[in-house]
Amino acid sequence: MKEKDDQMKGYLGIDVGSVSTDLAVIDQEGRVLCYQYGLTHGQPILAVQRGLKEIESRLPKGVDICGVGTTGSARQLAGALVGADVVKNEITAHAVASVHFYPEVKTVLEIGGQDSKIIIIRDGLVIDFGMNTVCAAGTGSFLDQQALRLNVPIETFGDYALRSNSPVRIAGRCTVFAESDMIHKQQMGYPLSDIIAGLCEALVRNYLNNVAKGKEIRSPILFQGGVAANQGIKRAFEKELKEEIIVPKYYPVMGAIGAALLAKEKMDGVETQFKGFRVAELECRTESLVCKDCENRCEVVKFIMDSKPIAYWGDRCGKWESEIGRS
Amino acid sequence: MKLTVPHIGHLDVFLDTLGKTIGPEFIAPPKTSPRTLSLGMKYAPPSTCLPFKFILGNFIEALEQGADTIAMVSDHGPCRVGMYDVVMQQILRDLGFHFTWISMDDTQIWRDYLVRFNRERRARGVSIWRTLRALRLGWKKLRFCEKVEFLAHRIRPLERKRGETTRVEAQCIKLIHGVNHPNQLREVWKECLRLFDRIEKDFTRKPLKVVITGEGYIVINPHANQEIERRLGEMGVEVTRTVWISHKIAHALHLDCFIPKSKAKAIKASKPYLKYNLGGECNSSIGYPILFKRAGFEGAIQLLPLGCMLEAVAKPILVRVSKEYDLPILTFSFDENLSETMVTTRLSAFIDLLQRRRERSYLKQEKK
Repeated sequence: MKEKDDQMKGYLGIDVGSVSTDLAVIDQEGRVLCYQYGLTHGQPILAVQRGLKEIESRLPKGVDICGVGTTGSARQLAGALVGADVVKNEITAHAVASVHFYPEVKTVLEIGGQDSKIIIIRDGLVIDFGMNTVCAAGTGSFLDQQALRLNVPIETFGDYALRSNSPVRIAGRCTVFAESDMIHKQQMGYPLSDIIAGLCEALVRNYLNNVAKGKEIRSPILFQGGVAANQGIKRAFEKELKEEIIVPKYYPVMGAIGAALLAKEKMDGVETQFKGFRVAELECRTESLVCKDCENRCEVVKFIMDSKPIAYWGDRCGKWESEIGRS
Repeated sequence: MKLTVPHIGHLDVFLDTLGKTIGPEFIAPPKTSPRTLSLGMKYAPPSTCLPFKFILGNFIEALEQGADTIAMVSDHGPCRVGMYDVVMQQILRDLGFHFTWISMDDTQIWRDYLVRFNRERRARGVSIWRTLRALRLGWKKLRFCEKVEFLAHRIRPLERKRGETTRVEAQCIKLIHGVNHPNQLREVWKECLRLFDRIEKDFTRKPLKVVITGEGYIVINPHANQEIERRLGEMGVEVTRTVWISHKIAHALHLDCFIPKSKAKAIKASKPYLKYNLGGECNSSIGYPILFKRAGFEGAIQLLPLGCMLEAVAKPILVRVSKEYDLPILTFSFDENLSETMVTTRLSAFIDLLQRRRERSYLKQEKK
C-alpha cells in the first residue's frame, strides 16, 4: 500500500449540505483516514474553508491528495472552490458509500438537514430512489428547531424519546401542524418524553407515506445522515417497519465518503485538479448578476477567488461559462 | 377580428400561416415568461393545475396586445380542461376584458373545427384551392419545426460547446417561421441542415436514451417543464418526447396510421394495464414507455402537473410497467413551486442510475 517516499494516496470528499459541511479522506483501499463534521451556518464557502483547515491538521503524515469529489446542495460552489475532479449529486454519493461498507444493502434511508431520501439498491445497483418534494417536515432542521423550543439539547433528543413508554399521537403531515399539535399536547400536560417520542413516530410515518411511498423496503436497511444520530427516530423506524435498522459507523459523513470514493474511481492515473489546502487561506466571494442578453433573464453567479473570476454558473445558454476559457 | 390561442408547441406557426392567407388575423401571445406565470397565478384559483395558470397568463398578455377573439379547446372527460373555458371566461370578463370566446371540443371535430372553418373561409371569399395550399404550407412548416426539435434532441448530447445546439435550434425555428411560399421551404430546410451540420460534435460519446412522457401541455412546452429536454441534453442524454402537435392533430383526425409511433399504438400498448380509454394522455403515457423500451430506450420520465387526475392514475400503473419491462421511470409533478435544484439533483441521480445499469449490462455481456 505504501508507495515510494512513504507517500500514501488519499482521496478527499466534501459534502456541503444545507445544515452541515462534512469532509472525509479515504485511502487507496477505501478506508476512512479521517473525517470532519461541521456546520454550514449559511456560508458554504467559509464552511468549506474551515473544514479544510480542520481536516488538514488531522490528516496523517505523508498522505497525498490524489483526487477530490464534492456533493451536496452546494456541490458546484465547493467544486469550484477546491478544484474538484468529480461533482456528483448526493443520491449517487450516498448509494456508493453504502454499497462500499455494506455490499448487501437493499435500502438506504437518509435524512439530512433539509431533505430526506430513500434509495433502493439491488445487487449493489441503485434501481430506484425518492426524495421529499415540497415539504421539509421530519428533516434535521425541524428537529433542531423543536429541540431549541423545548430547551432540550439536540444530542439528547433521542434519549428522551427512548424513555417514553406511551408516545402521544402527533400530526406529522406538516411542520406547522406538527408544532401546533405538540404545543397543544404539552399544554394538556403530557410528559415531554412522550411528546418527543410521538414526534419521532409522526415524522417516520410522514417519511414512509411520502418519500418512501410505493417503494419496496427490504432489509438490510441502512439509516444515515445527520438525523441518524437520533435514537428515537431509529426506534420509530424499527417499530414501523418491523425490521432491524443499521446505523453505519460514519453515518453523518456518508455523503462525503461517497464523493471521495467516486473521486477514487475516476482518478485512475489522471492528474488531480485539486488546488491544495491553501484555498482555505484565499479570499473567495461570489457575485450575482442578471444577464440581460435575452428574455430568459438568467441569474448568473460569478465566483471570484483572489480577485479573479474563476467560474460562472446559472446561465442557460453557456455564454458566461465560456467566458472563463477566453480570459 | 384578431384571433389568439395559447402557446402549445409550435401551433402558432401553423395558425400564423393560415391567418396570413385565409384570415382572421392571428396574434400569438407574447413568449411565455415569468410574467405570464405570475399573471396566471395571481388571477387563477390556487388549486388549478399549472397549465391553467400558464394559459390564463397567455390570454391576458394576448388581450393586452389587442387580441379580441380567443379559441380554446375544451373537453368533457375527467380532465379539468372541461372547466377551463367556463372558468377562464369568467375570470377574464371580471378583469374587464372584452372578447369573443370560441370553445372547440376535441370530440366534435366535424362540427367545431371543420364546419366552422369552412364557414369562415366562405365568408372571406377564399377559394378552396388557396385554402388547401395554405393548410399544406402550414402543416409542412409545423412538421419542419418539429423535425428541427427532433434533430436538436439527437445532436445536443454530442455538442462540444454547451449551448450551440440550442442557439442553432432557435435560429432554425425563426427561419421556418419566416417562410411564406412552399418553394422557399426546401431552401430553408437545407439551410437548417447546414447549420446543424456545422455544430462541432463528438461522435465517440454514446448518449443514454430517455423518453419523456406524461401530460401533454407539460411535455410539449419547454417553459412549463423547466426546459427538461435541454437540460438532459446538456447532461449528455438523448431525449425524445411522446407528445407532438402534429401527432395530436393526426390522432384527432383518425390518421394515426401515417405516424410510426402514434398515440393509437401507445393506447393499444397500454391495454393490458388499463382497459378503458380515460382520455387525455393517460393511456398513452402508460403505452409510450413500452413502445420506446422496445425501440431501445433505457429510461422514461413522466411529467405531470400537480393535481392532474389522469396522470395520477397513470403513475402507479407506471410503477408496474417499470418492473415488468425492466425500465427505470422517474416522475416529476410540476407546480409553480418546484425548485430547479431539486429537479437537477434528481435528474443527475437518474442519469447515474441509467449509466451504471448500462455498465453492468456490458459486464454481463462480456462474461457470456
